[in-house]
Amino acid sequence: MKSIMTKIVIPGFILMLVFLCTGLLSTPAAQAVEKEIVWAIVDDFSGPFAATGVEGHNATVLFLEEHNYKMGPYTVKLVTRDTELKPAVGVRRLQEVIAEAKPLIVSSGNSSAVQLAMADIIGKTKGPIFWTDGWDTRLTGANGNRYTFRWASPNYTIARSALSSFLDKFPDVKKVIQIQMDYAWGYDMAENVEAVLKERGIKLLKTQYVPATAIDVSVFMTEAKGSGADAYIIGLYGKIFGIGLRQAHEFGLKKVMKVFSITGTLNMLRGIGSDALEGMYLADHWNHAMPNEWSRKFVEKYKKRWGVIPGDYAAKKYLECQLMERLIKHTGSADPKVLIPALEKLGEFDGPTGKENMAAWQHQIVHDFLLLRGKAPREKAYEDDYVEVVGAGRIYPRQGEKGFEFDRTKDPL
Amino acid sequence: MVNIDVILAQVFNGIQFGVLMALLATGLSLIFGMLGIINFAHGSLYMIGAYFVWTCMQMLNVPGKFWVGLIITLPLMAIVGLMIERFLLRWMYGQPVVYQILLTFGLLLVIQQSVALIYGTTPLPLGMPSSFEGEISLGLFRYPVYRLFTMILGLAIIFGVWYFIERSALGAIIRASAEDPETAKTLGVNTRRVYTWTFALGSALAGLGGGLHAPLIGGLQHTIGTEILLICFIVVVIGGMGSIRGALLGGIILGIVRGIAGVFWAPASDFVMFAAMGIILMIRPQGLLGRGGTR
Repeated sequence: MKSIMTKIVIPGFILMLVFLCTGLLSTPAAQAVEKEIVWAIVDDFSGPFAATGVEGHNATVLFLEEHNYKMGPYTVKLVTRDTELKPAVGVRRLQEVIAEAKPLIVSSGNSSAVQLAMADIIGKTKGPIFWTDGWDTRLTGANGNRYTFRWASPNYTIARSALSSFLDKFPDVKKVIQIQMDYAWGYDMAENVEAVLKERGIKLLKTQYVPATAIDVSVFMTEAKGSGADAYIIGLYGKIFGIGLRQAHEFGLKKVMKVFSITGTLNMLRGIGSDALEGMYLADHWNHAMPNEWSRKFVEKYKKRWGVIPGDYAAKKYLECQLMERLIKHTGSADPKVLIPALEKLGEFDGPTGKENMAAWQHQIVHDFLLLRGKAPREKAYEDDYVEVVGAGRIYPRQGEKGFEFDRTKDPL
Repeated sequence: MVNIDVILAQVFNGIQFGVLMALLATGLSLIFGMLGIINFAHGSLYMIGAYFVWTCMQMLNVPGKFWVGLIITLPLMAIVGLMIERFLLRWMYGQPVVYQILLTFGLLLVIQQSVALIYGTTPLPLGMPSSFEGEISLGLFRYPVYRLFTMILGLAIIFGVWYFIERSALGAIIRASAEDPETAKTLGVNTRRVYTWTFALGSALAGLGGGLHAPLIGGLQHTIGTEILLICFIVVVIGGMGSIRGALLGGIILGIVRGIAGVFWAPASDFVMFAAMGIILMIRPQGLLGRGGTR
């Protein structure tokens, strides 16, 4: 009897239990709990833009930690890849991550050259959902696709919103000289600046192009100083931004003309210091001192988790997570064919700059772009208090305008 | 029509940039000339020097902390150099050049990433000493005081190094160890120790260059040594590998060519550096003051 028990009944009972458990786990409800989605960050973690890449990653981690790595019924696996700020490397990493991890979402960086190359791949492979932060107008313009979305404003908006606000403040500016970066983003920005100046009848004396890897821009500063311009428009980003603004201060450009930088991300301002920023005008997508509930809460949480005040890049990456989590929860789906139409129908929501909305026809989030003024060291209330918001604009491309004769929602999925 | 004041200011920009690059290239050239090592890690030594100055400035609360930091950085960088030579480079003497390149290039990457881990990737501010802020009138044009100062200081240091190597008794020992190590050894010279100290001197010069240049670049980042390395190599190739006078000449030529290009077409100011190197390599492959063939 004992032998029958040990040889047949007990193993049979265990076998039954195994079958039962397997059966239970294969029910739809159990499968949904177990299902995993992959959130891939393919960003610039090395090179001159490394600081922004790290900031974006930290914001994503903050959101996922707050939500226990869950979005709706799905567990989120975070994978990261470094573009090394090179288009070819970015494309390779994107292809690798698509093949290996099959992500639902790829969140990427802000080098336009890298982003244009990656968006092209996304368009060809039809997915995954791609959040880009390049500022080149074409990313949600001529080179956009149904899978690509963007919060960062395009150069079109940056030039028309912030530059226009700056020119409104200084109506005496009749001649300007501009310095831009010698690659895709710089060419696009230069064209948009030229368009604004032309509309206003302001003479553009010269456009200087400087490589992103330059270590000294003294020749450009001397040329600008001797040009007789009323304003110097600086379109630099990353390491060269610090070099440009520092040397503009060093060569005394502020004494002979107005200086306006089209960019002004917090982590770049930290390297320059208030002595150089004093009296300069800058522009940015967001500022940590924005007087709205979203910003107040986000700054508080980010500072508590990472010990520093976040910049605009962190804000936009956190918002991407927030929007995707909301839609995955709402639709209960992890299918791009369900999520993309839902993103297009997003409508108005509370974002980093206040009330924001999705322009579905071009997959661009519409929000304010800010004009900032560099504070003097004596005006600072705390360490990161480099600028004050003195203006804002929200001028985005209109559907049907030259170069924008399309509707992304009509593209096949 | 370009004004004469702009032309003069651009020439000064060129000379200042050239002298700063020559200061860095002097260390690179010294290491190559005496040790026969092509040191790709030189750019990271420049970067560490800048970070050391920044660190000293954070820790010190004394007047003129930039200068105190710069002075403290010199022996610190010499110690870094001593350790690199003693524990890594020593095994490379007499080995094929490719091993030296792999080791020093690997070292560049390791140092760069280590600095990113320790200090983070956010740019760190290293402002100009307040007494050197602003511009000074040079007759026809005004020029930033700090740039003028770095130009004069850089020239003085390069002259000092040249004098030490070419005219002092200790310099004679270094040259003898480089040119004929076997004979030097038979005369009782500890050549290994000479190589170690030569590398330490080269490292200190790189660190000094980094510290002096830092206030001009608007934020320290771990990547600042990479681009500068390329320019240092151009200076050394133009001036002649292993020649201190060549490094100075190469730096100044490079700077002036760059400055004049800036007058007429500023975007070409970087391109002309490579063009100048190409022309020199075609006409005189050993460089302007290179002797062609070193230890």
